[in-house]
Amino acid sequence: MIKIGGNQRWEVLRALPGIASAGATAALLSSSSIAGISPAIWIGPAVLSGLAAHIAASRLFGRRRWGSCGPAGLDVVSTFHGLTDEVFIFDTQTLKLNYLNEAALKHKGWSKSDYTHRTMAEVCPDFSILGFRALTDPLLDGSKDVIQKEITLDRRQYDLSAQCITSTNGQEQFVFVLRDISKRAEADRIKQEFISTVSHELRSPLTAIKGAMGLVLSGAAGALPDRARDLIEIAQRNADRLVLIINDILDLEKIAAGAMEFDLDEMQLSEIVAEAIDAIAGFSNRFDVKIEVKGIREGLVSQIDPNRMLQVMSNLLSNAIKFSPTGGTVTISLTSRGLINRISVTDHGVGIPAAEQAAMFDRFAQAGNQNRAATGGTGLGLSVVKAIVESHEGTVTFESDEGVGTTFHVDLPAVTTTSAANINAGQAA
Amino acid sequence: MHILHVEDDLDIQEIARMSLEMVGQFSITQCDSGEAALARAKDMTPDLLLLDVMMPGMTGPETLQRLREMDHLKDVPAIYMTARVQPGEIEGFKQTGALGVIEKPFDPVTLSQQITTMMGR
Repeated sequence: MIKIGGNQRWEVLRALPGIASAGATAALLSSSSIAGISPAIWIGPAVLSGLAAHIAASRLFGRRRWGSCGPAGLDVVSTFHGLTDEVFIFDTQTLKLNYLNEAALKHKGWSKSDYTHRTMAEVCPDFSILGFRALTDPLLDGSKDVIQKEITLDRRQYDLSAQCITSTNGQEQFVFVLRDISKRAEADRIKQEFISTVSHELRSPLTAIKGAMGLVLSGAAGALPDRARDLIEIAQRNADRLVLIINDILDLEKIAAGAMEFDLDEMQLSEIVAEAIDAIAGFSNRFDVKIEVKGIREGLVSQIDPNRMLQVMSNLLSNAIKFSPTGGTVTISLTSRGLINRISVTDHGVGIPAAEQAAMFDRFAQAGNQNRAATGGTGLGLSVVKAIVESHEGTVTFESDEGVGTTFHVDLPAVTTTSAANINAGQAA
Repeated sequence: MHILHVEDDLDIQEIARMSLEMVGQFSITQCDSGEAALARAKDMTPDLLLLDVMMPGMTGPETLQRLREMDHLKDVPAIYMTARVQPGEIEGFKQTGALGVIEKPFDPVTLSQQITTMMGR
């Protein structure tokens, strides 16, 4: 608990042990409420008791106060000046620069003496006052404490953290801290490029393999002996699996990289459930498993990408079907749990052994060492389900008893009644 | 129906040729690069341009753009064949003037049907 300007408040502090430049033992502290400006401050153990005063001062650093805001013996200015992140402090009205640390000066190629007449407009080559004010207004009207954003500046990518801080004399200043993430962005780009290349390079031979087998099986190359047909069908089925595995890997990577498009729309979940059941009918017939609809509540609306949610349902239903005994039943239900809409898929199969439950959403996990070739699974279906559901701000969980069966639940945030009513009105119109 | 097919992978060319000729009863002229297609297309007017997207040299969209600069090809429908794409990417391909995208691996038995459906025939 510290006191700032007569008000007591809680501050979350992180402390790391370290050695100060003078060689004395010190602690590296940062306060989360001002973490946006990365105020890593060196402070000796002897002055830890003066911490409250220090944090209070660092929250209030007006330009004139910097020299005096640290406890005795602590040179806050040079500490701040040496941060690897770039720090720009400037007036909220005139946008005139009041302070740039060493990293910021180096970036702009300016010296310590020639920046005070400059404004933020000179920091950003394509500065637009309207865009800038749109970004910073929430800081001035108090609707936001901090704004974090990825920006491109001088052809490099940065994580920007922007705050408005009022100094002791009441002067409001913007504090922009820029962290160079060009290397990370470049690594992401290379990874994406690699994935797309792998996708293409694997697909070309698969196109030829699947195409050739498809033509042979169609009789385009003449009649096939039965044994040969059986063998080609095995090859064809496995080529299909390979395509599914590649698709799943690509989907997972795309979601992880934030590159998968989600075309979100407020939708009646009962429609998605019905569509999913229709789509899986052929597959369930093949396994001689019935799909039973139980307790579908109409009118439950969530914001979803219908195609992606169909992919989720298709994965869960096909899993449930594959792990059901012949002649068995898979149950699907749709219920409301307050602010959550829940879709549940239940099978009465072998269940998932307790020891394997924790790893069920891992890539290439499969219960009970089931033979994937026999079930046609990719080992990635549940990872894809989890990634897609979580991209919808939802969760996926399961309950399973060995020998009894398994239920998977997909929980999605419900859209409020008012907006759902609007959808209904729209549909009626 | 006569198709000009541009595809750099010779095995895929062969599969597509067999599929389109034997199943679809189409006739087909094939080129293994965008550059070869530009040369070949000078003296022919196909009913459809079927283009691979990722090719060394000119890509499918670049090839289509250059083909469309030829007067006799400016209204010939075009379809791309490429690896799995996202819905947004399909829109992008359509904006280059194609009817749509056939995903690879394609099914040689239904390829002709996919094409005629896309062409609205």
